Amino acid sequence: MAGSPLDQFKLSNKLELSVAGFDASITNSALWMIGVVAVTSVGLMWAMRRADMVPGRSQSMAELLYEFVANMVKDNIGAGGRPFFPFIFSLFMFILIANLAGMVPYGFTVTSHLAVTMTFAIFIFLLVIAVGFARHGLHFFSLFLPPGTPVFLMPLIVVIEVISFFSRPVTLGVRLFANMTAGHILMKVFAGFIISMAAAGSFVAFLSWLPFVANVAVTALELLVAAVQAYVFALLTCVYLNDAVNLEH
Amino acid sequence: MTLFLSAMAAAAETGGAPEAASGGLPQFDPTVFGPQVIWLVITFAVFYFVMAKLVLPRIGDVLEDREEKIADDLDQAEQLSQEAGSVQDTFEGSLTEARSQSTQIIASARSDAQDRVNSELAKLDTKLGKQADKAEDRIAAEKASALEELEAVATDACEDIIAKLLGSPVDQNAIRDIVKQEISGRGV
Repeated sequence: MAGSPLDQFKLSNKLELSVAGFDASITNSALWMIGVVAVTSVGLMWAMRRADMVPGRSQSMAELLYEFVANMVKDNIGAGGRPFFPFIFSLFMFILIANLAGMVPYGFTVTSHLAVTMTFAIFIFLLVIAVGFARHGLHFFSLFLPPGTPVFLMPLIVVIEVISFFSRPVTLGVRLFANMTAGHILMKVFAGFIISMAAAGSFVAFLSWLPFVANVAVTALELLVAAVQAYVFALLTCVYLNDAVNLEH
Repeated sequence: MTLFLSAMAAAAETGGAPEAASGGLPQFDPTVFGPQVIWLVITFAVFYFVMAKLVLPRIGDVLEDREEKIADDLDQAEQLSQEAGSVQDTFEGSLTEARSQSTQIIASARSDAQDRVNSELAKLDTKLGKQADKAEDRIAAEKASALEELEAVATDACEDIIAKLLGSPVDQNAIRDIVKQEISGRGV
């Protein structure tokens, strides 16, 4: 039973499946994705089942989440961000609930996998490029040259801006993956320490409460990280989309 | 951070040996990419559809309705407060009117009362004056009759005294004149 702290990230096929030659097996990851989507969708629809003028507790929470994301989109993109609101909201809710679901004991953290976070990041990267060219045409390239740049600095600035632009999907995807992976390894390592120290007997066993206390603290921290990383991911998506929608800088 | 990394590496080394043939993080195993990406696309597409078509319009409608309701209520409250203001204005107008009317009524009542008091006083004055006159007349009559009587008594007395002293009758008229003179001379 006591395996590696990395075992929690292992994928296991629950149902072998192949679509047009691609491996589309239903794994534990896929099951958790389906669970996250189902729980969140049903939860929000249940919360809004009456859609009262004066909201109850669950409806208040749903409205709170709605307004939280709506304000994020409005503050960062402005009126032009309205069409992207459903996407940002879905993104935020998916990552938030996936992160929190990973905190459930024996749970699988969907967002701790590079394949998932990079899929999101690359999709957002392509979305930004598509929106940018659709709205501004070739003028979108002026993104790489901030107005007011001194002429002798132009080549340098353009290179820096291009590198910064193309590193966006990498940083966006790796940030979420690294945060979730590191946090969950840390929790498992401390949990392993509790068992191994207790099993060691004598004085060391007496000190086995130390990693336990540490793990309680890390668990609280990880709950915070789960929410913060979902927020950061959604916020950065807004910031990047703002570049494409309002080409001003 | 370095401590954490070394702990992670140590844990990976010790625990991962029996089953993990590849070693390292399972996330870096390319064979797990495909199914994850496919299922992420499927589940997220469904999720996006549910959010965009079912959940978000519902929440948005509720929020919009509430905002409208609040705006309507505020408008109504504004209107009602304006009405209340106009009602208060008319009320205050009628109040000042009533106040001036009441002062007028009080003033006229006061002057009426004063007039009546004056007339009553005048009536009483004349009545009392008449009574006083009457009393004075009576006093004068009494006085005159008393004087006459006194005159007669004094004359009789003088006559008797003189008759006794002189032993002969005296002229009654002369004595009366003297008595009359004496009485009037003393200013009785």
